[in-house]
Amino acid sequence: MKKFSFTTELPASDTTVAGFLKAFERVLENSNYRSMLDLYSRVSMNCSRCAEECQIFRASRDPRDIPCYRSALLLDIYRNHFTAWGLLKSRIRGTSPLRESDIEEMAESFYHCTVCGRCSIFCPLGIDHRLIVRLGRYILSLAGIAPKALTVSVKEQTEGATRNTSGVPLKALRDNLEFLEEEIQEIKGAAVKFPLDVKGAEYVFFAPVSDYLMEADTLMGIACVLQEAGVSWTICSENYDAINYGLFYNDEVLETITQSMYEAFRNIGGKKILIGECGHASRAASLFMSHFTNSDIPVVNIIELTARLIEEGRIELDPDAIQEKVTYHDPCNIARSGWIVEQPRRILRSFVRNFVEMDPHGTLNLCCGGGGGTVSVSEFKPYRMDIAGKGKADQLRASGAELVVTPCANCKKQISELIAHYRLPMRHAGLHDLLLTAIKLKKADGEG
Amino acid sequence: METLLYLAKGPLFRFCIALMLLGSIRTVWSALRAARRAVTSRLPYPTLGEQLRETAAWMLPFNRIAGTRIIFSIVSFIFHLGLITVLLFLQDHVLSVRGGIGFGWPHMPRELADILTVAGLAAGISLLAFRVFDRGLRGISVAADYAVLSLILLAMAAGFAASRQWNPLPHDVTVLIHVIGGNIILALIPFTRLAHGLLFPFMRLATASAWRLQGRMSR
Repeated sequence: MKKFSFTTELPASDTTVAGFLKAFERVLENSNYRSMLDLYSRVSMNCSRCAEECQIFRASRDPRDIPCYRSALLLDIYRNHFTAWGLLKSRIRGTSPLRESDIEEMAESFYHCTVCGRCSIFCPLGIDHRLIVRLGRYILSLAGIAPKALTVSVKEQTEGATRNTSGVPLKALRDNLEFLEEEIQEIKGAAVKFPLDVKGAEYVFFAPVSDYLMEADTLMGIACVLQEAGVSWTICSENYDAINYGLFYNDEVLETITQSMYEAFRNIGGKKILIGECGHASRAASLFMSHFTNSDIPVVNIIELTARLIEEGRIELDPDAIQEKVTYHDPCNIARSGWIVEQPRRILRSFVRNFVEMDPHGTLNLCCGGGGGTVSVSEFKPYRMDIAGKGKADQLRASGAELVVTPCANCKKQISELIAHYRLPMRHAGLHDLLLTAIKLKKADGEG
Repeated sequence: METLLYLAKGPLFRFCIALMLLGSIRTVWSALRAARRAVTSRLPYPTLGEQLRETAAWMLPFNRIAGTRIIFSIVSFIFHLGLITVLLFLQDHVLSVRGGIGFGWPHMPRELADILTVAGLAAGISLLAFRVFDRGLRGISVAADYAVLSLILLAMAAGFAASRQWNPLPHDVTVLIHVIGGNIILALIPFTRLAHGLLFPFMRLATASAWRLQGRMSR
């Protein structure tokens, strides 16, 4: 078997058709996917209504990038190997219709999709291609085919010493928080704390751990907003990573990480889970926390909370702080369902004078091109730049904005690379990065 | 010819209807199981009502046609409209059903049926042309896509021609083509992509059901 365009944890030569089919069978036995596959494999009409809505097909013009073609790769295997009619046909032919080259094609195809979900909105039959791609990745991962960049991070998060995807030890976290507090003191002239392990806090805060390394302004903005508004919150030393790559490729990983977050939350006695600026982590926690833990823990995204605090007048923002022309990129994982679309716009409009929208935006936004975990896989960078992210780059340029705001760690990385690759005349920032600039802290004004 | 027509309209028709109903029961049962899981799920997925509203919206997709592929969408809608309304409300079809099972329903005027048939045929031929000439669509189409659509168009065209004086073929031959074509389509519904007409209302519920992931420890 040939190597994939991405590095796998197991040598690609270890994967076989039999291994894939065995993994598929195991998933069917232990999941709710069979009914969906049954229906999808019967009704998929290959009408390609989704084609022109997929930014990847629009960039590549390759029919293999049409969402229903991608889905058909897995649906055909289901039809041929796991239905009575398919099995009968195989018997008559005397051979298995699945070849190793089919598995290779699937692996490439499923990781070329950014799982943004836009195509599903335009499918007249309601086929969720995003779900098929997820399932395909799940089965592939059980057969040993998953990008090493994802599996290594997950291994560190679930079994490693640090229990987070970036391998940040607790001591480094403590040092980092101290450093951030000093930075805020310097920038804003006020003492703002990053509470750690406060028992019984209303909100237990989980950021993507990479923010502690790369998105200091986002975290400082969040801390300023929460302290200024008098919110009871804490970071938890038992678990301080919101990232959940299971959403991208493996249900079992998704469950393990969700439960780990719940355990930490329960041990510290918090009341609500607060997720930082991270699209996939927010979606993973909000969709699956109750489901996997049999609990009713409220999961709140920081943007929801900040929007509410502003509306309640609990923080004051300087309307002159941001002079640039600003646009907003919707992370697919929080916007596609309509969950977080208006809140960030209300926040921005409350203090940004020159705000412009991209077209389309909101629930119909274009993906940044790095979704579905692809931004974490360095081998995909040329693809992310030239194909997956091209539509977003065109959209950013057409907006005429000087600053693009996006509240998602993955989107930030992809957009920063697009800006460099396409030499776009703009910079990028997180939403709370701007709030850090604009917020008026009482002590900084000498009022506190 | 008369014997063939009798067989096609009688025993073969009843056999195909029975096959369609039995196959559909199994298919719809599978869909209902999925729907039940979706309804009982704890997931904050769109509610049952929202999913049904979305499904209904696509059945009359005037507000969904916007965006890209507008012509394709309109053509597709006209094709389905012509096919389904004529199939269900053509006088001859209603009378056939009444003759077979003892009851029927109101039928549409012949002139309206003619308009819908011609429009449906034109739209169906356009859909076939899209499949042949659109590079993207051609790239993802398989033999079954062409075969199913061609079979439907053949049955529609034969049915329309059978009642016309300009029909170049003998009347009984066109009726036979129409009836056998229709019978094959009926029998194929539960077992092929034609099932989308039957399963369309359950699709979003099946999706919601599948999102009810099992993970490892929840099993």
